[in-house]
Amino acid sequence: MRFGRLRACRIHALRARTVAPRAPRSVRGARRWSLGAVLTLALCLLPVAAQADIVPERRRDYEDRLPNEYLIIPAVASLPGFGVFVGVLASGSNLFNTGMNFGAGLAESISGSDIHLQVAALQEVPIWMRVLTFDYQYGDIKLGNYQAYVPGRDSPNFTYPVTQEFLFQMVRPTLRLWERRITVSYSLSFANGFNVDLNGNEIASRSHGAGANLALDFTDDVVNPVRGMRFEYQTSLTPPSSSFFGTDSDNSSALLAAGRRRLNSETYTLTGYVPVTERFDLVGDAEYFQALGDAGNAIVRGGSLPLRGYPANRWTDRYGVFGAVEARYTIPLHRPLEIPVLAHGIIEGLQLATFYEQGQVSPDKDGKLFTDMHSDYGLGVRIILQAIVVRFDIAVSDEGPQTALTVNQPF
Amino acid sequence: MNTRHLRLALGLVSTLGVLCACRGDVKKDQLSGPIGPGAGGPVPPVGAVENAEIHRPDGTLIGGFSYDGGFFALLTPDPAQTGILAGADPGTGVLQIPITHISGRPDTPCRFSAAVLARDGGFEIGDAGFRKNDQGQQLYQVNLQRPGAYAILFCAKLRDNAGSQFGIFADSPDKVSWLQAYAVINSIHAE
Repeated sequence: MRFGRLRACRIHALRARTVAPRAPRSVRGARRWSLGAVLTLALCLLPVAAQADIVPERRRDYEDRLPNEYLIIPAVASLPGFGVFVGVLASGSNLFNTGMNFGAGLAESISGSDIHLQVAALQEVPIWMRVLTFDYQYGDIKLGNYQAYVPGRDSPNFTYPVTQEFLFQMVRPTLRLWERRITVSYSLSFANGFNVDLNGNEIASRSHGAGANLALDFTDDVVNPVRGMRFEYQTSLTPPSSSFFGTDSDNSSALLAAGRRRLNSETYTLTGYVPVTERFDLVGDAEYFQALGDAGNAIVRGGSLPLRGYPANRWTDRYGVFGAVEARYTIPLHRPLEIPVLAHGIIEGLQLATFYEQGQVSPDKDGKLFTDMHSDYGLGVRIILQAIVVRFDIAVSDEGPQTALTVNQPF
Repeated sequence: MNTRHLRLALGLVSTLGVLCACRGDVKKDQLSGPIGPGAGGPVPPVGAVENAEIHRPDGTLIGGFSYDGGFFALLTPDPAQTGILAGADPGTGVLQIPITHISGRPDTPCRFSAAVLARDGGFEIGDAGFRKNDQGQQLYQVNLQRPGAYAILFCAKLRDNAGSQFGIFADSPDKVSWLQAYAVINSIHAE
C-alpha cells in the first residue's frame, strides 16, 4: 500500500540552491508526447503480442482462488526508513468468494523513529461483476520522529526529523480486461492532518491527490509470474479541490504542496520473467520516472528509487532510472496451511531469492542519469500462498543493510 | 516438507525480522550540555551591547538577543526578523551570522539546512545535538565545514512553535567559534 507523501514542517532557513539553470522546454509538448507514447505503445503491443504468441497462457485462473485465504503475521520488523516496529501484518484473499481482498497493518515503532500506523485496505469491491471494481484504503498515520532525506542527486546521508499526523483515504476504481492482462485505474486520495504555519501555529491542512495507472500483463500468473512480461505506466493527475472526502484547506497549496500542483510525475516500469528450470527463474525489472512542469531551479521529486538497500525516499529527483535482476528458486509445496487464527490457505511454495539493483537520479535528463549509479544486493525469502506472497528481504548498500517484511513480490 | 515445517518457515520470517531489525534507527546526536563561551578573537564588552527583539512574521514578540555594536554591523535593517549580522574582522575574512525564522521543532530546520548546505554547497556535516546557552535556552546545533568555509547552525524554539535559526559562517575554524559570535548565541532568550 502506498500512502500520501510525507510532508515536512515548513522550513524558513538557508535555502540557497546551486542548481544550474535549465534550458527552457515545452512542458505541455513533453506531456502530450509521453501520454501519446504510452497509448501508442499500448495499442501496438496488444495485437503484436497476441499475434506473435508472446502472451503465455495463465497457469491458473486468478478468479478461482481459494475463498477466505488469509495470513496474519505478528512480527517485530524494520521497514527501510521507518525504523523498528512491533505490529501485525494481515492479508486476506477472495473474501466470502466475492473476489474482494483485504489488507491491514498495525504498527507501533519501538525505535527512536516514533511512528504509529494503522492502515487497512479493501480491494476489488465489485461494481460490475469482477471487471469493474474499486479499492478503498484508510490510514491513520502519526509520525513523531520520521527521518527524512532532502531530495536531490547529491543528497547527503543525513536525515531531518518530521512530525506529522494525518488521516489518509483513497478510492481507486479499476477496470480489468482479458484475464487481468489489461488494467486501467484512477485513484483519488485525501490527506487530512495539520501543519505549522509561518507563525508557528498549528493549522488544519487538507489536500487531494489523484493519479492514473495502465498495466499490460503478458505473464503466466497474477500473483507469482515466472514467464512473460509486464508493462506499467503511472501518472499523477490534477486532483479536484473538493470531493466526497472533503474540501482542500485554503493553505494546502501554499503551505503543503508548495506549487507542486503544476508538476506531474510519471513512472514507466517494464518487467520480464524468464524460466530457467522448473524451479529456477530470472526476473529483470526496469523503471524510469520523471516530473514534468516548471519548478524554476527547485529540486523536485519525480519519484523515488525503489532500491531495497536504502531507506525509503533516500534517492529522489526530477528524473530517475532503476534496474534490478532477481533470481528466484521456488520449492513447490502445494500443502494446506492451517494455523488457528493466524493462517488459512494453501501454500504453493517457499521461494528463495537473490537480487542486485542499480539506480540513479538527476535533475536533468542526460547521460548523467547513468553515471555514479547507486547499487545494492541482497537475499529474500517468500512464502507463496495461492493469492498472497509474504516477502522478507535483506539488502546491503554502501550505506549499510536494510530489511523489509511486507506483502507482494517487489515486481 | 509438512505443515509443521511450514509453521517453522512462518516463524522464521518473523524471527528474521527481529534479528535483522538493525537499521532504520534514528542516529544519536553527538553534542550535548552547555554551548560554552567560545574561544579566541576580540573579547566582547561587558554591558555595552545592542539589544534586538525577535518577532514572528505577524509581529508578536517571541524573544531577543544582544550583540556588540562595535564588532558587528547590520547588513539588513531588521536583523531580528530575517537579516545578517556581519562581524568586523581585522583579518582577511568576514564573520557572518544570518538569522531566519523557523517554525516547529528546532532540530528539523537545523538538520534540513545542514543537509541542503551539504547537498548544494559542498559542506561536510559534523557533530550535532541539543545544547543550552547561558540563558538556559535550548538550541539545536549542527557543525559544518568545507575547505575554506566553516559554519555552525543554532536553532531555537522561542515561543509556541515559532523560533529562529542563527548561523555562524566564517572562513576559518577559529573564527567560527570566536567569543563575539558565541556571545550572540549565548544571549538568545525567549520572551
